[in-house]
Amino acid sequence: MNSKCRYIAAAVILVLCAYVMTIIAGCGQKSTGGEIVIWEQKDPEEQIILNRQLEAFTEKHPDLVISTVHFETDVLHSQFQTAALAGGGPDLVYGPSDKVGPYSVMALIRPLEDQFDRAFLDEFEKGSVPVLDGHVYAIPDQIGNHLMLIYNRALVDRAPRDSDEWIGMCAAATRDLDGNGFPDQFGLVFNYMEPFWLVPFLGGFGGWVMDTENRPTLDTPAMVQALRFLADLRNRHKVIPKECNYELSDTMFKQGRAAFLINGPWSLKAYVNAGLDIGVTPIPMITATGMHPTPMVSSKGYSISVNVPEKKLPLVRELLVYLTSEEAQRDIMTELLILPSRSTLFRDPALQENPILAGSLAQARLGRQMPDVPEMRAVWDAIRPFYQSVLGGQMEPEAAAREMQQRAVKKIAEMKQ
Amino acid sequence: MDRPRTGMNPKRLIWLFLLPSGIVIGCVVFYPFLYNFYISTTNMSLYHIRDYTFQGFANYREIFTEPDLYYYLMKTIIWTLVNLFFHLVLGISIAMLLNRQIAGRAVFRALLILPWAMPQYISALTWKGMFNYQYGSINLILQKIFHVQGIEWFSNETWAFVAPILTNIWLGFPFIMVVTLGGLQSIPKDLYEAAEIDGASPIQRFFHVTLPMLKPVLTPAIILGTIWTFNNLNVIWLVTERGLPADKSHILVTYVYKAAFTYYRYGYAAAFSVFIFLILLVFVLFYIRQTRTLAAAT
Repeated sequence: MNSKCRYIAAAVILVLCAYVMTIIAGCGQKSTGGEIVIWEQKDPEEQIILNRQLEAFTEKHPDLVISTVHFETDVLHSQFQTAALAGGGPDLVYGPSDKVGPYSVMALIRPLEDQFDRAFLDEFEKGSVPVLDGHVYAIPDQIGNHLMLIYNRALVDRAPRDSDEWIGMCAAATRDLDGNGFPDQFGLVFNYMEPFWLVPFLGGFGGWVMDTENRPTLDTPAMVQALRFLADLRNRHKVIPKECNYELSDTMFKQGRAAFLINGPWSLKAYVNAGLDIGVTPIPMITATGMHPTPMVSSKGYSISVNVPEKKLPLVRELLVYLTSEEAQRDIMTELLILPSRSTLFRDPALQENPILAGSLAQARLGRQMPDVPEMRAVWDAIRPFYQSVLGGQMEPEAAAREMQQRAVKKIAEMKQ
Repeated sequence: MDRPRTGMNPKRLIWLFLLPSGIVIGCVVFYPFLYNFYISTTNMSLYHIRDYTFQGFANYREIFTEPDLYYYLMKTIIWTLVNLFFHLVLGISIAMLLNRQIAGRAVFRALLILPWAMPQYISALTWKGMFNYQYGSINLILQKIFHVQGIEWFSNETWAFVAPILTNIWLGFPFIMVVTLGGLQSIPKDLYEAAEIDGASPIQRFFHVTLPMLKPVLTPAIILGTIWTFNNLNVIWLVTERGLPADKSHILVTYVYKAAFTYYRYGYAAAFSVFIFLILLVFVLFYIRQTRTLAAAT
């Protein structure tokens, strides 16, 4: 071989090596005919149940390999988007229903009404199956995500009747235990840094985040009253810590340093495991309006990637049906105290006779469906800074409501450019 | 010059050796950069993710009409300058201490490098916990030892900016320390002896011997430090929980991150990242030119 040939051969080998490495790095998750890949954002305890269910499924399909890849919610979203746009990614993607909006707009997931018959879809609780522009985009294995009031029976013996009584009970439970002049036990804790925790109160004063045309409705008297109500809890009644994020509220409640907590169904099992005697009840009715707070209710479920080839679809469908079956959902319900999405399970004694699940269901019934449209991102982001400013005492509720509306309208317009 | 035994032309051999790194740099630096620039001239967004079209410099025009641009730019400059100042002061001071014959020098050196060796993500979350109002170690010290009210770190705009700055100072000074320590060990002792004989005070020796001799190692370190700090997304994003309070703790890169991953405005975010690149390019060119001018003058 002469030198020129060697040179060319070496160059070709190098380029091939680089190409192969790129393929390996970029397409490591791409599935083949005998493999189904699931990307999920489940909590560790849910992952254990999922793995057990997948093992049972593969026993029926010995040639099938199912692999799961776990991501945090936001990371899953961006990773799936990147991978699916490039023609790769998983076969099934699992997550909360509000992610379905952006996925469907970008055509990353398949409409499912052609994949499943109407009778199957009707087996799910009304409103739990995400539908956008007339298309079904996910099959849920649970509903919830709704905030509720959780109380520590060691500190308060019963649920409050309304918000006035609740504030009184919170004030009585807020104490300086070590006598250093600063309270170290609070009546109420919740992640009031995030607007998700504001929404129930917005509903309690008669408002909501969007109208039926998906236009933000934030500059309303209801928003002003809800902001003032929460600011008063912090600044006037002083029954919540001066700063309180998710971790702090969770830790304080687990340590018995908070009488009431507002949190979601994902957290219930951990409080039981921590040995707390908890009660679960809807967030108390707002005395001034006589209305119940309305937390957002959404489902979590599986969507099929648009990149799943036709010949693989029957197997992927079968797995999806299995993972959302009554049997699978009963596992999640009984082991993790999370509400199912199948209507039949709502009549199950395991749900009806469990006071925690019954309390969670009572709250879910009072909640409202979370809008699954992409515009919600702009709404969250518009509420957050001004809501935080009101809680921090740097802004009046009226000005905050006005500003958040303007910002939401502006950001939605920018998103649609 | 004799040809090597392979019979290959030496120049071609050099190119062949350079080829793998050239391919890698082309794939991971030049292609993404050019692609980013291309995206910045399109309307790629959530609603135009597959059917985006060329729209010239519209995104760039929009950047300069963004009312928050100058606020975030000013915050970014303050963030970078304050961090760099403390990185240099702490890094050089500690390096000079470690350059002396002190007991346990190796132990101190290892301990002081730890912040740099820790993953930034972990450090940022640990510091976030330390700033916690109720349970954070800083407020506990203030309350239990000094009997004063804890600081509301993330309710106040100033404190919310101080928190990530403190975190990043802790994270960043070991880099300057390590670089300086290497530089200090290469300064000939004769120079200090000569300066001492000439009657130079310790401060004069520092400014007229140590600092000029450290310049070759400090110049690239300062350039890198500036770029890393200017573009440091992790610390701000994690410590302030996405800009607490009320989006007041953003710097330009966190703003770009939001534009891209909250609002799916890929074209706009790409244009913004080109804008950030240009700011840093101008800084680096200016800084290199200044240091060369100073070197020529001395």
